[in-house]
Amino acid sequence: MTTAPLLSFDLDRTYPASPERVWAAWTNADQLERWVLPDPEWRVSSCEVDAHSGGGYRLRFGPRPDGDSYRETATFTVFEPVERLVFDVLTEGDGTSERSRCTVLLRPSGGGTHLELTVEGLSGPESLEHLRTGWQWCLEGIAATLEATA
Amino acid sequence: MVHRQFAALGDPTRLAIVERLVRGPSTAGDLAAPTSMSLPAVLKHVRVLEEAGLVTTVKRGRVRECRLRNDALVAVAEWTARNQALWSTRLDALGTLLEES
Repeated sequence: MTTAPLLSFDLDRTYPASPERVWAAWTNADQLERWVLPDPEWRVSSCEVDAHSGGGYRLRFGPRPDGDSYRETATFTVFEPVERLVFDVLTEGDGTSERSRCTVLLRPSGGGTHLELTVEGLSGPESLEHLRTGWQWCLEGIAATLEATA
Repeated sequence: MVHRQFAALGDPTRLAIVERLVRGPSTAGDLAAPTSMSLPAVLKHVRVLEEAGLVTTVKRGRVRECRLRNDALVAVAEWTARNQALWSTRLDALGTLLEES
């Protein structure tokens, strides 16, 4: 499936931190939850990261006090520390459901890190496959949690 | 809505049709001419674009004229603006976090 430029965009930033630290900020739950909020007034009610290829992150966030009107489930399809992270995202909430693919590229730049993010809109049968993978992972997570608390 | 548009535009043939219609209205026959596709095949793609709210068609005599709807790409543009704002906010917050620690 080809992707039209129409359905994607790029963002880039240069951070005064090593690629290792930037990578850690994406793949450790305690760091991720500190920057993923789209609105500073909102809160994250849960944030979990399964940091390996085929893993992903699961977030719940939204307006206070509950902070759970939105669910964002990502599956890491490419996991290459500390250079490349590709993940398919399912965002649900407020009566909507949206799929996208994000590609994060990190490279050292003048003592810091240059980050390039590409976001593409997803549709079609391939996203069904991702949805399946995402849910499979959710279910495994529930099973693991239940096992740990048994 | 945007999902139907993405699904419709995700096909290279349909994207090519939309790109062609950006330049102005065209008959289904003219859309088919530069390709190896049959007229019914083109009309099938046009129907998908029509159902996704991207294209309208009008029968003029014996030919069917296709044109891009004025509001065709509004939902796509909104998707881009919304997601760009979301990720831009996040990347800035990530910068703040990295500067703090």
